[in-house]
Amino acid sequence: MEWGLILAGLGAFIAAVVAGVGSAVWVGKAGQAVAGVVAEEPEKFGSLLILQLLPGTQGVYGLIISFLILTKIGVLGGATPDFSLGLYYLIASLPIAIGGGLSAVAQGKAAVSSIALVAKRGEGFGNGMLLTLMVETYALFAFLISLIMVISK
Amino acid sequence: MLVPMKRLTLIALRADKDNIMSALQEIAAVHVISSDSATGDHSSFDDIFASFEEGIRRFREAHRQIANYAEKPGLLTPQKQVEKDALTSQRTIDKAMDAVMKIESQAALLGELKAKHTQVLNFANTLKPWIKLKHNIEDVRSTKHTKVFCAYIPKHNISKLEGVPVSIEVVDDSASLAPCVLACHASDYDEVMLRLHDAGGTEFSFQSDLRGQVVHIYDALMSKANEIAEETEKEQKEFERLGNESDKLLLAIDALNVEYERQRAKAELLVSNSAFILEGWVRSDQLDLVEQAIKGVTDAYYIEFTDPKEDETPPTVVKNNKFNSQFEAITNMFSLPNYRGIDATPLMAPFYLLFFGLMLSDSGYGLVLYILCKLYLWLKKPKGTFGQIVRVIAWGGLSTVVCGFFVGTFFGLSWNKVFFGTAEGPFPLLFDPLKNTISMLLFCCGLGLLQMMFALGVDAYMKVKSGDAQAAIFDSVSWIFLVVGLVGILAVPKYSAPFLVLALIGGLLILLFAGREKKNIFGRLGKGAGALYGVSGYIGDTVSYSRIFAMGLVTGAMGEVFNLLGGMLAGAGSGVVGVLTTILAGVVLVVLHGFSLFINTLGTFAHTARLQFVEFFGKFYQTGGIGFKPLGYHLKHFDIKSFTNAEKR
Repeated sequence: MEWGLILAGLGAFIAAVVAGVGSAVWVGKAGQAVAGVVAEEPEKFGSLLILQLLPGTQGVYGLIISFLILTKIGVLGGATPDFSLGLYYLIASLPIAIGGGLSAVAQGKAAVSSIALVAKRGEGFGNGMLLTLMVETYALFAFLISLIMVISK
Repeated sequence: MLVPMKRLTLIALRADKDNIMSALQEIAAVHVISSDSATGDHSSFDDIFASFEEGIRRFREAHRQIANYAEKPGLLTPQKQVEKDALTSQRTIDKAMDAVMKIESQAALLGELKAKHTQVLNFANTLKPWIKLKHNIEDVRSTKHTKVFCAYIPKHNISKLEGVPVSIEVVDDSASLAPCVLACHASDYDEVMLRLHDAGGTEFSFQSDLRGQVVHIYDALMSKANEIAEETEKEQKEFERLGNESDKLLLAIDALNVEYERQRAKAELLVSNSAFILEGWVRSDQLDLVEQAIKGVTDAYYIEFTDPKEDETPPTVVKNNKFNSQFEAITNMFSLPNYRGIDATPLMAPFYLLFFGLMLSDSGYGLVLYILCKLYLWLKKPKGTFGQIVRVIAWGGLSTVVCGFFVGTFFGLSWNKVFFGTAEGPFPLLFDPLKNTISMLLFCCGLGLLQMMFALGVDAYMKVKSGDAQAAIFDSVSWIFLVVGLVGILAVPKYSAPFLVLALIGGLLILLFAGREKKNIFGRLGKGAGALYGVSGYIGDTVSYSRIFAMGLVTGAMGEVFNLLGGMLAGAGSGVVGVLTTILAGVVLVVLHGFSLFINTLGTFAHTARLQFVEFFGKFYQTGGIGFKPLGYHLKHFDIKSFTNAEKR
């Protein structure tokens, strides 16, 4: 098999998996926190669900980059890349893998704290959501760079 | 617009106190504050407060018990309405109290029945092993020389009792702990008991009042248990029917809370033997309303409205037209405006809508969002902050439809495909963010610069208005010069000369005057140089607006990937399989796009808000307003029919 395809495939793999694992772990932890609150106050479920979901976007970003790489390298379309292009796709996957994966952790922590905030004070939801979304900025920027790198080739 | 407030001082007769407070609560126009000279000692009210809390707690507890049986309000049914009179009428409380009585007594009855059922069953269980006893219970008794008694003996140990002078009749040999009837001579009883215990046996005696065969008694007990179970079920149904009382209880909770609020306001009054003083804040456009309400009660009063003093902080009330007022919810998520600041809502609303549309950037999503929000508003009629936010999102949806034509897509498809069926064409009208990446990036940052310069302009206006023209020129206008100059030099290098001059003027103004309060020339220049470093903040802020572009790309890329998935699925088979996969692809597409719409709307809503709060408000907005909380009717479970005054929001 071509080395280029293997490298690009590795890129698609880490974009989806690293960002996805970061999201999954912290959506899970946020879910546990929500479950604890909802046991006492079921009416807060709706707003807490949104907070739980926030660290989950990184996984979606990773999935999109992964898909776009696959459409370029002859798996879902496009042509098999040579070595250097394959390496390029691998590098292109790194911003969302690293930036996404780590920001999911940071955002997850903010989400868990915001869930505690809403548990104590229901009207704090707006604040909690904004605090948590501050972290999202950096996932968004990482995604932006990965996306531009992938679609420009 | 910020509504000017007036400080209200009312002095009236103590006898009229309750009626005046009720009248004021009705108009919901007075924000009561602690009287200046009041001691702040509420201890005499503690008992009243406690009794209210206890009453509310009791209603809540009763409601909790029947809540599961009450008719559930549909997701889209509007909140029930209630006449205002019902909230003040004693009948409301009385009716709810009746309901509480019914619920409590029915719950007690159910508890009793359940306990009785368990008791009967337990008794029946103790008799169950003896069902096969052929004798009547009263016949199992000792005589003068013979001891006759019952015992449980482990089956495998019965043989160990051979040779003991006792006769054993095994009643039921299927049980491992066999029920037995034993008979022995009275003189052998002690020895028999000793051996019995050695063999692991335990004595058993029937309740002394039992007569007849065990099997009959057992059957009677079981049928009694069944009767009780049936009765329990009947009473449970009766209990569930009490779910209908739910509304009465909720109404009473609301009514008690209304009265509780009035009592708490009364605690703030300064009361003497014959008169009382009420102090509070009133909107300057509701002075008449307040005076009329008091006139309706009595004409023995003294009222005074004064302007707020320097050291007083009146609560903040904003008044906007119908369109802008929806956006107050967004502003309030950040902070209420300071009473002496400016209401930023109307300044922010157009930017909010524009950025919202550019971020979501898919006309299809915008259309769905608009329709969903409108349907929700029409069916559920949400009130308060939540209703405002839903309206904002509906407008955002409309803005998205428009922006989609310029920079976006239609459900992830390019407009050219939708209109002409070809990949190339005049759409999107402005840029395709996926192709003209840099142009789109610069466009978004340019919009950001525009908004920030606008913010500086507002800031300058505010400073002039408060009489500090120096600050307006040196701290706000200077920055506009500097930033516009620098951007101009970069953007149109050919005609950079005028921009260079502009930037130099701005820069010099900042360098020389930012530290104008310092006497020392070096200190002054140092502070100016430090202030100049603030230009890095503007770079950061400008770059921050690239999130508009990034969010737009997320929507576009997500939609495209989902369409790709759907397309692959739809083209996966032929013939019958083909039809099935096509249907499946349709379902998958709806679900995926629904997810994309949800997650992107959430992100768009919040990121747009962030740009307003951090980059825009950060330049001029004065926070720290106190909420205007007039004594009024604040209901949780109902809406009041035909509410006439401004409190309606």
